[in-house]
Amino acid sequence: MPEFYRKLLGLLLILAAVGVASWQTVLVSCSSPSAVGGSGPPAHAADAPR
Amino acid sequence: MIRLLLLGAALAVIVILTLMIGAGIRQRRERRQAAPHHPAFAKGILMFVLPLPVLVAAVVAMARGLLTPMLGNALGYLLFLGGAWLLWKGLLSEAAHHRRLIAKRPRPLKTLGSGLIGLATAITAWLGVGHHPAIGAAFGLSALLGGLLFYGFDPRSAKRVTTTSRLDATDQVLSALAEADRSIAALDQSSRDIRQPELDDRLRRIAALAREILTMLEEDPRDLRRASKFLNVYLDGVQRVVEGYARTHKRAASPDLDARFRRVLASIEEVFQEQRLKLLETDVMDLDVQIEVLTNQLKREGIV
Repeated sequence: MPEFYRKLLGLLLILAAVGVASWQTVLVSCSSPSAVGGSGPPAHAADAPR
Repeated sequence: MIRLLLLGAALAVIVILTLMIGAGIRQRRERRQAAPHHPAFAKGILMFVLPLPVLVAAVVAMARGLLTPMLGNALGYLLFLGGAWLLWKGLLSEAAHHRRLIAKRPRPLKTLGSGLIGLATAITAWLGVGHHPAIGAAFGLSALLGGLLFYGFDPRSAKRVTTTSRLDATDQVLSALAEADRSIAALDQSSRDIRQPELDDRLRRIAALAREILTMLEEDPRDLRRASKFLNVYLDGVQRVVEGYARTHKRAASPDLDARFRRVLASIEEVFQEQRLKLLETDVMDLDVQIEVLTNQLKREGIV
């Protein structure tokens, strides 16, 4: 495989694996329910249908 | 007719632009090939920057009291840092291996770094994101493969040197050169401590000459035996004298001491230049002998 394609494929794999895992973990940390004050009302209780 | 002329002009402009771009690309490629081997900064910094969101995620998880994601992200980020550091060190040692004429086989730092990056990605995907362990392993393997393809493997061979009696002298030559390198670095450091422009300039010249001599010795290690006196006696002596002067100079300035030191430096520079000329003369003599042998061979074969 020519060097250019080898490096390009490597870079794409790194971006896909490391980049995706890194940003997914941020999204999960921000969106999962907090363990602090867990017995309180949900964050968007006011918007919930009655 | 006008349309044809316009079309011709447009085609001419396109051809000229294509030729100019092609020439530019060729020039850039030639410049890149002629440039000394050094690790690309962006390549080395990539693995320090790309996992930064994992650190952010660890802080957010800690703030929200999520224990497992926090531990997973923190461990993942530490492993990412370790992997990035190993990759950077591997790139530096690969560049040094390319630059040097004699070198040992470098340690497989790039391969280890890619392995650590793969492990960090797997742990982040498993404990940080909460993927199934098999999915985490798939993330890790992709990162490992990407690292190996993008950064490549470490150099697998040593650049060895043998003596005329076919004995391996690589270690001996490398340790002599490394010791001389240390002496020159100490010389540089001492010259920074001496705040006198004239003496500083002379010391810089001496260090440059010493570096030139070392490069010549690396190019032709057969001269190492002849130059051993220079390496062991003069370089060592210069280092001691300069360090001693720098220490004394810091405490008290003495015109008499300065004058003596100036004289010593002048004779040291002279000796270094002589040594350099000797090595050059040896090269010229070697070349003369080679030319003579070649001429005789050509005469024997009736070509000349």
